[in-house]
Amino acid sequence: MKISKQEKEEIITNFEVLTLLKNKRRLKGQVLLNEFLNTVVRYLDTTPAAKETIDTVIECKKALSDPSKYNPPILKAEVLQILNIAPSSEVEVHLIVEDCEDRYEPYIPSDILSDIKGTLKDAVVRDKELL
Amino acid sequence: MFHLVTVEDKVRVTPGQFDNEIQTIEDEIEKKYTNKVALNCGLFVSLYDIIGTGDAYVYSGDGAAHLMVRFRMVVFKPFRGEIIEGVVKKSNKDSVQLTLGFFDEIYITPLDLPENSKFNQEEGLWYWEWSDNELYFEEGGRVRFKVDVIEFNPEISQPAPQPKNLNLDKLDSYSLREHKQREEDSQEYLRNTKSPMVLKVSMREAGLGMVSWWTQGQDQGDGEMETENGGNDVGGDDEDTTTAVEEGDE
Repeated sequence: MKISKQEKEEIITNFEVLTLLKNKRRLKGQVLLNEFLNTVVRYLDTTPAAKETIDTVIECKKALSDPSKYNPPILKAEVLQILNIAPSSEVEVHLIVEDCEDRYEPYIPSDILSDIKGTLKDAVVRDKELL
Repeated sequence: MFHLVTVEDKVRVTPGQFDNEIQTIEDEIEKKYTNKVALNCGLFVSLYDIIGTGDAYVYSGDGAAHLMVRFRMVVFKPFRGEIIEGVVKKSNKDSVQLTLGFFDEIYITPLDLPENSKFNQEEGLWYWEWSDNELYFEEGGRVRFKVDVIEFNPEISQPAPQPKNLNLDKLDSYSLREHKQREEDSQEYLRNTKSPMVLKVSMREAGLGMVSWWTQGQDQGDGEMETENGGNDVGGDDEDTTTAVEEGDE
């Protein structure tokens, strides 16, 4: 076994992992292995990733990487976390986007929030029973 | 939270499987890697795709084909400072354990809980004191946390195998003592061994803690802290009345 080192680490969103695992062929006779995959799917189903679709994710990413609006740009890791967590309040945006106060004008966090709410739609809303 | 990692490994394909080679390669990789931790790499979750294979070799004494495969795996390895949601599993005075369902070696020390957190002896739970309200970290409650440290433990996690069918009555006193000592040692060893991957996390920032604290109220003012039990409202009313009385006295 050899793990090749790369300059850039490839990070993928919860949504991608969830769609991959849901469409995966399960091995026959490997009970423990399948049980493990099912627990991963069960966990991801409780996150906002379950309510995202490929179109909403693409739209959200496009909206957040608009260079005319957000300068300096929002980092890749931050976009990833926004997609994974789907923030619904400004406190959460401040939490994910580091040094929000220094990097951006004061009105930007609420812009980010409205972009997220406009593109991800119902993924932002939490189900009561999952809390 | 999840990464893609490129791995190269040798896969053995038996002659019976030559007609569906690709499926066999996929299955072998899944069986070998899924649910295992690689040092400084993370927990393998699933095969993502196969990038390519090398030539197949047949070695003397073995009819199977051995080929080098390069593939990408989905790996669970949070980066430092990442914010993840989990569930409270267990709490005691020294630490709180959190779980993601498939991974539960996530620990948080009392120091890293939100400021002014206290421990309730009777309930065995930690709570956050926020302006006269006691907000509990209930077991099974959804929490949000920030990853501080990812620890990999390369130590051996299994004790030495014990001899089977040992007749304790026939041993002389010296061997018996030695045997008992060894048993104690191995149990002590098991108690001290750590899981191969451990996450240490913190919640000392606004927005971290129980998810319900931050997402329920839409407005930024008083509403954001509201929890489901009505205790908060009562506390708030009390505050109002006391201030009113004070003002009246003046």
